[in-house]
Formats: sequence, structure tokens, C-alpha cells
Amino acid sequence: MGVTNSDKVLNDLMTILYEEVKAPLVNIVQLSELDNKNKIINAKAKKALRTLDNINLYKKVSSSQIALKLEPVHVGGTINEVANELEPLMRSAGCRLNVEIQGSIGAADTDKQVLKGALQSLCQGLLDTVNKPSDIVFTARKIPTGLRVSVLSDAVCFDSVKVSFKNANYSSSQPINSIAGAAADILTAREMFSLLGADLGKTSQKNLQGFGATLNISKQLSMV
Amino acid sequence: MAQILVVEPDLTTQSILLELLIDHKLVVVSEPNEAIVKASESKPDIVIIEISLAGHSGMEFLYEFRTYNDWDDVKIIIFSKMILEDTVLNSRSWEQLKISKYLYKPKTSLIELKKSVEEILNKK
Repeated sequence: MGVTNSDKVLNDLMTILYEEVKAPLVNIVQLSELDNKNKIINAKAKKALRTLDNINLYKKVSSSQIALKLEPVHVGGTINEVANELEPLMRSAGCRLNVEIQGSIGAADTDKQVLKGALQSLCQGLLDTVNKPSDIVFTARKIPTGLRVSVLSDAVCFDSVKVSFKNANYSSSQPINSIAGAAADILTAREMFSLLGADLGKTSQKNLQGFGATLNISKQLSMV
Repeated sequence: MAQILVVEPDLTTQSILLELLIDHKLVVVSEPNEAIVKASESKPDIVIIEISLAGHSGMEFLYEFRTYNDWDDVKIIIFSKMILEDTVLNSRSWEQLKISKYLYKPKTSLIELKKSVEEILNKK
């Protein structure tokens, strides 16, 4: 099926919306930084900007405006980058982000920019589902099928996430009936991981629940 | 104290930059044509420019700016809402235009912007 006129209009509207919404958010970030009193507003505006940038990146890759750049990426390093960036947001919500990366985890064959966007979206999305100040754990470990990255908490409320995931048989997902609040970043994460050939799903470890995806281990570096 | 020429169409960002860089002499304009006039009146040490300008190309302004030999040593900081990858800047044009820094607004704190200005001025 070719691109219809309404697809093109929608695409153009999204591009315009992205620019129009970004500008006042940047002002909010700058003003709140200048008076140094509104750290929560500052953190929330930055979160919204990251959401916009990640949706925009997803749009560009999925419409082939830009191509994926697959290369060995040190997942632990990328997770640490994301964790540092999101620390003020976590703090503003009364949460603490703990990073647990398995030793010698190695690299994944992936696109670093898209992976970073997917991890940012995943972490922000999980924070939106958390219903009280809590610890959030960002993990990465090797499993037989690849490199598993997960974000978990003991305070996740899955009901707030109106985004569906593929079932175990990987047949087509249920239609999304409504998207609000928590779902925007989770949906973005789901789609960005999908670009990287990874399926985002619900996961649990001990008393923690959250979301996880498995990336392909880099064959280049694993042969060294 | 340095002379800084700011080319920025957004009024809120203009007032933020005026407050942030209060230790320097700022001349703020919304359009590139005004910038050429102001630079002619008083040569800036640094130009801080938003290249995403409605109705004008910030890049065209920079190319024109660099045709003036008298302004060859003026430093340029691009402080833009556009991601670098979405611009037409490549390593060749970067060198041609002698860009000192490209700062993406959503990811650059005001402290980082101020620090960049101070670093560039200290190198002069």
C-alpha cells in the first residue's frame, strides 16, 4: 500500500508539532535553570524533550530518512550514560536509580543512538508507572539468547500502562485502545527496541517487576 | 568583558541570554540582516546564533558573515534547537565557517553555554 495523502499530512503535522512543542519546553528548561528554584519543573521539561527527541528519532529511522548504524556498542557504558542523564529526574520523583551491570558483559550489535533512545524511553516510562518513591534497578546481563537489559522496580503499577506487548507466540499485538501518561515512553521504547530487532516485554526478578528486551551479542567483539 | 552579538528569534531566549551573560556587553537581534548592521557598528568578539530562523537561513548568514575579512577572528557559537545531524553542516563547512562550538539547546544547560563562552574568550 503506498503512502496516502493523509499519511503525508499526518507526517508533516508530526514534524511541525515536534518543533512547536520543543520551543516552549526549551524555554521552561532554561528559565527553571536560571532561577534555580524549580528543579522538578526542570527535570520534567527535560524528560518531555527527551520523549520528543526519541519519538522524532524513531520516526526518522522507521521511515528510512536515516539508516541504522549497526556496530558493537558497549551496553554497560550506554546504560551508565543514560542513568547519569536521568538521575535528576529520578531524584525529583523521590526515586533512586541503581545500575547493576554483569561483569564482562561485552557489546551488542546495535545502533548506539537508537539504543540510547530506547533505554531513555524505557527508564522514563517505568518511572511513570511507579506509584510511590522507590528504588529503580537498571540491569544488563548475558543470557543464552543475547544481552538482556531490564528496568525494574517494586512499585510498578502495570494498570497505568495502556500499551500492549506481543504474546509469547509473537503473533500480532492487540490494538492500543488508549494511550496516556505512562504509555508514551513505554510505547516509544517498545518501537525503538523493535527497530533493533528486540522485543520489549514485561519481566520480573524476585520481587521486582518491569520491562526488558534482549539484544544481539556482538559477534565481532566476542571473537576477540 | 566581551562584545557578544546574539542572533536569536525567540524573545524568551533573548531575555535569558541577556541575564545569563550579564557580565558581557550583549547586542541582541532577531534577524540576520540586523546582525550584519550591528556587527558593522561594533565588531563582536563572539556571535551566538540560532540557525533555525523563520524565513531566513542562519547558514546563509554565516557564509555571508565569513566573507568579511575584518570579522575573520570573530568566534561563532551555534546555539540551536536543531540537531546537528539535521543541519547541512559537514566537516568542510564547519572548517570554512570556523565554527567554535555547536550546542543543541534541549541538551545544553545554561551553565554549559556560559562555560563555552568563557572558554572561547580565554583562548583568544
